[in-house]
Amino acid sequence: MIRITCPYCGPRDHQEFAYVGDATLTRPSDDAGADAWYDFVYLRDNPRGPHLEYWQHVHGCRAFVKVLRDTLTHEVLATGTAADDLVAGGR
Amino acid sequence: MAELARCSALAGVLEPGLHGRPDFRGPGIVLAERHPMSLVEIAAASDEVSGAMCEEVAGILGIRPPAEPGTATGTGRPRILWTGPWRWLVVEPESRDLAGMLEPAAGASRDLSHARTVLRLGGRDVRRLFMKGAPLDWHPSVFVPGCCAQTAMFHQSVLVDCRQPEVFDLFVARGYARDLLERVIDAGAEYGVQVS
Repeated sequence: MIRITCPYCGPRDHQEFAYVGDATLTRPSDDAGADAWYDFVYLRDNPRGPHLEYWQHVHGCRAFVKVLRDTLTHEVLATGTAADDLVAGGR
Repeated sequence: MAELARCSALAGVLEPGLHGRPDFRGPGIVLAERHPMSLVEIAAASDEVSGAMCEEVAGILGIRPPAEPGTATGTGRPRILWTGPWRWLVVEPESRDLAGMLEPAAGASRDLSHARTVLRLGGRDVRRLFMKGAPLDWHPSVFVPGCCAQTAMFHQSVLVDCRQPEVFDLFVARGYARDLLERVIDAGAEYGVQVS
């Protein structure tokens, strides 16, 4: 069981959340070309260790939450709102 | 055009009676539907609009939406529950055009009266029942009157409002009302559920 601290609701069980995706990606510009978009839409790293990701508190306040999670230990290292800049080192 | 009747999602389903096996003290859980209710969601998209909206709502209703997440204000006519950042649910037993009153210049409002079913649960074992169904701290010193929380209860999105130490209102999407009711009665069988 992972406990994720929602920036609004406080610590909650991960069953209240839905995993949204990789938070390290940056959306390319509209005219960036097919390769950049292919990379953005389909290609993901599979890091072992801290990883920055988006979760949504779907059964709670519906807010998007940025989570720095260790993929090896499931330890949640930091959380914040989607706009927050969490500790660097997601990658 | 014909007037549409307000019909409970639990009409014909929620029948008064005793479910499960209460001990010698009597049923540990009492359950009733609150119907009809007026529910209006108010929402904004920025601190600025939210502040103006809250100001206006306070002027209209005499009750200010709570600033603190997971809390509620008002005694019930109406009661305002925090449901998310810049978002609240205004709730009261249906008696006036609440949706019409809450069309503030700032923010947005939406009548959800038809979209939610409200169950009132009470009794000495109701917190034990919640412990079986939802991963929150239900201790009476933590989840106190004035607290509200949205959580996954019996695998469904439910908004729980603590009205008194042993009295709670459960808000669930209308289409899930029957399922939640059945799960609550099943889970509460060991305590005895008195439906009224």
